[in-house]
Amino acid sequence: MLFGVHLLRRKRSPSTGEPLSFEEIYDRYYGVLLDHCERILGDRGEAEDALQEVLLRIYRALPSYKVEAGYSTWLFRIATNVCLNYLRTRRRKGLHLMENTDLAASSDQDVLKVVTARRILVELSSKLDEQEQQLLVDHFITDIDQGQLAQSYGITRRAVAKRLRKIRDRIGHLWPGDS
Amino acid sequence: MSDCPNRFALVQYHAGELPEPNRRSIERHIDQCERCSGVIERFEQNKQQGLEQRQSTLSRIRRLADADPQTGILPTYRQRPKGWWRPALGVAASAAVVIIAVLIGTGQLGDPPDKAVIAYRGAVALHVSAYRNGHRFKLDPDRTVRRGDRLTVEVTVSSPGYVALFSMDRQGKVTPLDTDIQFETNTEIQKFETAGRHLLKSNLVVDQEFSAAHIIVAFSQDPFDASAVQSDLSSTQTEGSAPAEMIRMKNNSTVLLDSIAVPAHER
Ligand SMILES: [Zn+2]
Repeated sequence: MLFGVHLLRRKRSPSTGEPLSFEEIYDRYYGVLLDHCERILGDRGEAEDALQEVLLRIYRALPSYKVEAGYSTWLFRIATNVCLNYLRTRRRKGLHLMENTDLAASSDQDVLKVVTARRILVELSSKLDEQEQQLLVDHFITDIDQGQLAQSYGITRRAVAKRLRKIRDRIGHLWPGDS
Repeated sequence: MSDCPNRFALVQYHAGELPEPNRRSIERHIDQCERCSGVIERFEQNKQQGLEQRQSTLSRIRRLADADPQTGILPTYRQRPKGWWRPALGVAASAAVVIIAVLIGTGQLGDPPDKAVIAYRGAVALHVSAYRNGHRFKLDPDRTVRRGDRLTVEVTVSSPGYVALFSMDRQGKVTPLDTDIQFETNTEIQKFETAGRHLLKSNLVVDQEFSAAHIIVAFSQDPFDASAVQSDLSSTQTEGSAPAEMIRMKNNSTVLLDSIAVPAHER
């Protein structure tokens, strides 16, 4: 390795909140991050491309990241940001999503939520600011428990619920079907 | 089914982040739930894919990442005077610093690390997407490309600079590859004014004439002689191996290369 300066960090276990090297993060999180990108983008190839950029950002940000309770929240936030950018670019270029019909026709609640959330992000994003788009992804696509979500945003559960209601009011009937 | 954990909990389970009691209760659930065990299996398959391309992905990430995010400039090497790498321990350290400082003063050790000799180059990455009947598919060695498939070629450059595109056939013969963009008159290189991702060719059709085994992009921050790169690549190529990652030109400037293998194609 020519440029392996960052890679000399020592191996430690993740559950104790100790730092991992970039390679360890790659090995441990590649699978879940690819899944996450694919859920947001709805396209495997594009997800693989986006993941390269996600990994690049992780690599750059890792030396200054202080691990507290694991990496997943931080890594997923980076991935969400990159993928939301991809969707913005796609919109700017006037490219339309070729939705996988097998997925859309599925009765699985999770799949329906993901597909609808994605449609909102593509078609109605002008009605939502970046924070709201992020919250929409966290709630419907990442599917984070609201308590954990509140913690990661540094706000109360009530505040999370309130923000979600605000988004719901704005996008009306398209709101993914949960109660 | 209704008491399935949140998907993100499955993520944290798979990544080994959960503390013991939570981990065990989720594990018990997964054991009996087809849906959740399916999700875990999906994570695992993705992970295997990541491990298969681990080396190439990591080296590409490093290449792009070590470029300065502002300037896109990438240090190729840092020459440090010997002795700085293993600083003396404890009390000896301060004494060592004094001694070294004196030696630097007398020009015996060269510059201290913060003034290390640094040479720069940029970074380049090639992206090729393949489409069949309007659907994107992954280019991998186990799959053949067919007549009628279409390839889109893009490049990411870490700084403004010059780019040339080539294809190399299975015998190692290198030829320039036409792009969609108008190259400057009488040159085979294209100047990009900005760092970032640029489209080079949107509709490269796999037909009778198509014989690329590798698509290669060459990049330099300064203008370069594309035909020299072409002949250098042709002459140094050994059959079956991947193209070089860097060529040093006669004027001592460097041209960076990235390439993507195109799997064998049916005629
Ligand atoms: Zn379940």
